[in-house]
Amino acid sequence: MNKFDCSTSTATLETAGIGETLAVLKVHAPVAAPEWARWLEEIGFIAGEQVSLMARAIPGGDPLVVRVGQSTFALRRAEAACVSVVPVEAFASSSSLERLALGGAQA
Amino acid sequence: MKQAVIHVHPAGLLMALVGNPNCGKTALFNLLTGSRQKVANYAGVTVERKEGRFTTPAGKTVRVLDLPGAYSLYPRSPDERVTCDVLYGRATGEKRPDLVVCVVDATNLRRNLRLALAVKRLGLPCLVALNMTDIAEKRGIKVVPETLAAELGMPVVSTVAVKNNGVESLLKLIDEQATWRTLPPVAANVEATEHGDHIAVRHILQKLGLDEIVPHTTSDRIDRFVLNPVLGPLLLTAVLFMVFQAVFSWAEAPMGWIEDATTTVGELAGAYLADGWLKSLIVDGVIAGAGGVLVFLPQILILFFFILVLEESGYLPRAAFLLDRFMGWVGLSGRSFIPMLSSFACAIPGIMAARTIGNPRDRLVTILIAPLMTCSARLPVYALLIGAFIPQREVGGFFELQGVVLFALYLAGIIGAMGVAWVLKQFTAAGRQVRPLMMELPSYHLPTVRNVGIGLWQRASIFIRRVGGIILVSSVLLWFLASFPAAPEDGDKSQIEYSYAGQIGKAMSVAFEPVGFNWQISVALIPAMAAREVVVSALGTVYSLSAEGEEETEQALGSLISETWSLATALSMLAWFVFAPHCLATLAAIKRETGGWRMPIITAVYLFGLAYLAAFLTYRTALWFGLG
Ligand SMILES: Nc1nc2c(ncn2[C@@H]2O[C@H](COP(=O)(O)OP(=O)(O)OP(=O)(O)O)[C@@H](O)[C@H]2O)c(=O)[nH]1
Ligand SMILES: [Mg+2]
Repeated sequence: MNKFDCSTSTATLETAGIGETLAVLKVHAPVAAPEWARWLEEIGFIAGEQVSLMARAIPGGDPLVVRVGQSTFALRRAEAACVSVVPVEAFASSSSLERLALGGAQA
Repeated sequence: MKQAVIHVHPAGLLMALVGNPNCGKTALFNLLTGSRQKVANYAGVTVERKEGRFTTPAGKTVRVLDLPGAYSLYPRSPDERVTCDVLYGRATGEKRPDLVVCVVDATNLRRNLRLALAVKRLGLPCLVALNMTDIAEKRGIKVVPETLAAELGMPVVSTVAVKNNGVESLLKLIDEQATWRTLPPVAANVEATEHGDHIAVRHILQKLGLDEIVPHTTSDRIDRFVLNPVLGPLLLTAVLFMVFQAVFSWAEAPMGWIEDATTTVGELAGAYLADGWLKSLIVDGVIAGAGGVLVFLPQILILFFFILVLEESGYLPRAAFLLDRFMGWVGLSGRSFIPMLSSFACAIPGIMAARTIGNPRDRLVTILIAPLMTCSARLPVYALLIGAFIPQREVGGFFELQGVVLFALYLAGIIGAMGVAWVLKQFTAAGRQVRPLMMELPSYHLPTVRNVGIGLWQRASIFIRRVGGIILVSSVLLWFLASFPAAPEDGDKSQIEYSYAGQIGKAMSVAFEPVGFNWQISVALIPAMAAREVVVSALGTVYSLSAEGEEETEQALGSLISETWSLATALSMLAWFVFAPHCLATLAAIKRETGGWRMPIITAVYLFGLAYLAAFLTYRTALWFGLG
């Protein structure tokens, strides 16, 4: 297994279908590049933000075009794999999920 | 030993422009100060601190700093560090700003406001310039500055930096020091408040009724075509190909006019000046030398017309996206693309732009290969040789052969650069890592005639200043070396062969004989270290001085060399100029950016080595094909 691999059991942006409207659940960085989590958050991947996969350079390949909030970014697959996502409706309806994702932020 | 430096800062207000990349800081800076710093539609245009000044309506002189864009106050690359250093008061030779103008892109408040809040938390007096309100309005995003100001606790002015809107209100606000002098409260725990910023921004957006995500329909529709896995690369190739075709076919007429004009001036000077050293200096040194370079102005302007349009449209980061995979093979990422593309104008801004690359290894490799990109100073050399040796005819019924050859030369530079990167990848472990991309794709803008016009005007004046400066000076110097000492009375060869330049050339041509360069070329290569175009002016001077009769002096350099050089020599010289680092300014820039002599020396050695090898192989192959 690749040390840049940070895929979890939940769905990530990497495996999302093109055009699906999703919400960020959480960002987790791979062991080899812990700084990615902060960087991704800085460009807008924050729990609750609306994201979607817009395009792939090659079907199934690297890199990806991703919409996050109002911005568009080119991301590598390994980067997109750090972003776990849920369908927006699931995020909005589940207040427990929201609390989990924003945990402690209100403090 | 380190010396203690005492910095004396000019008195008066110091203002800094801070914001996310590509939100219009430099456009606003230019508007405020009347300067012409580079503005383009991609993240990472400004990579260093730029200073300007302006006077407010109340008569105060304000110094203003334009800073590189940043996503946060935690720098991830050398350019973002410049911004953070200024904000924390750590920048060398500069005090901490008295006022920060947070430039905010109104079409993307969600991300832009977070940085504004973070800057506010630093405890610096802040204003917000709500920029790009024209685009926001078109997309149906209505932001009321007063409401936003109330929510943020900072004064807000709405601006359109490309249309001169809102500057008066901004200037007025800068004069009202009482409104922004009051320091905002500084939060104690930075970690906790960062999440707090995010929640605050959401809150503000909800209050303003802007929490709906507005889709960018036009840009998305264009991207469906531009980023398509099949059509995208085809479009990119077509665009690049068209540029090189245009450089030759559109330039023909205006080049003819300039050529005629310089010939006329040369004839006039020849007719009215008395024979002697002054006439020779003007005719052989200035007109045949520097004048011969001026002819290439149209081609340079055509090239820059395309570069400017592409930069302003927002296509460049898309091209980087399309080429990311390709760059991955050689151990680089799409992030290196824009620095490399900037090097098509000139390697120096390209080397500077490498600051936007966070990964130190990638940054260094990009700096090392930037001089291989075909800069606009090579264009006169290529154009001279192509014009003289490549016949003007169509190939495949559609393409112009000269344009095809030029395209091939650009391609040779790119392939050379990729080859070097690939070799470096084999030797450095870091070359095999997954490297971050995270590159913003801005929305498309239609380039305005005014911006492109200003850009072209700037380019024309830079080029003319180069011709009148470094090129003229080296032409005159070479003329001197090539005119003295005078030939002996009984000399049977042309005068130049007895001169210093002639002797140096003869000595050097021993080394260059294997690649097919005659002594005239060998001489011209020396002053060309100052700048590549100088080789054209130097050849002009050398041939003008060695001319036997009047009519030969007046002959254009192109037709002259096409009669005296073999095709093999011309091709060999083209190959030499693809690689050779004939530009001291580039080497100096590498020294500045890498902080030592090591890298510029390595660059010079490896590039001269490659140049010699390429010229040798080209020459021998051409001879083998019977083109001697
Ligand atoms: N329509 C419109 N375009 C703008 C406005 N301000 C800037 N632009 C355009 O936005 C792009 C970015 O402008 P810059 O001034 O280079 O942005 P910057 O913030 O200096 O960017 P970096 O130096 O990369 O951080 C350019 O294409 C400008 O022409 C505006 O108010 N309205
Ligand atoms: Mg800028």
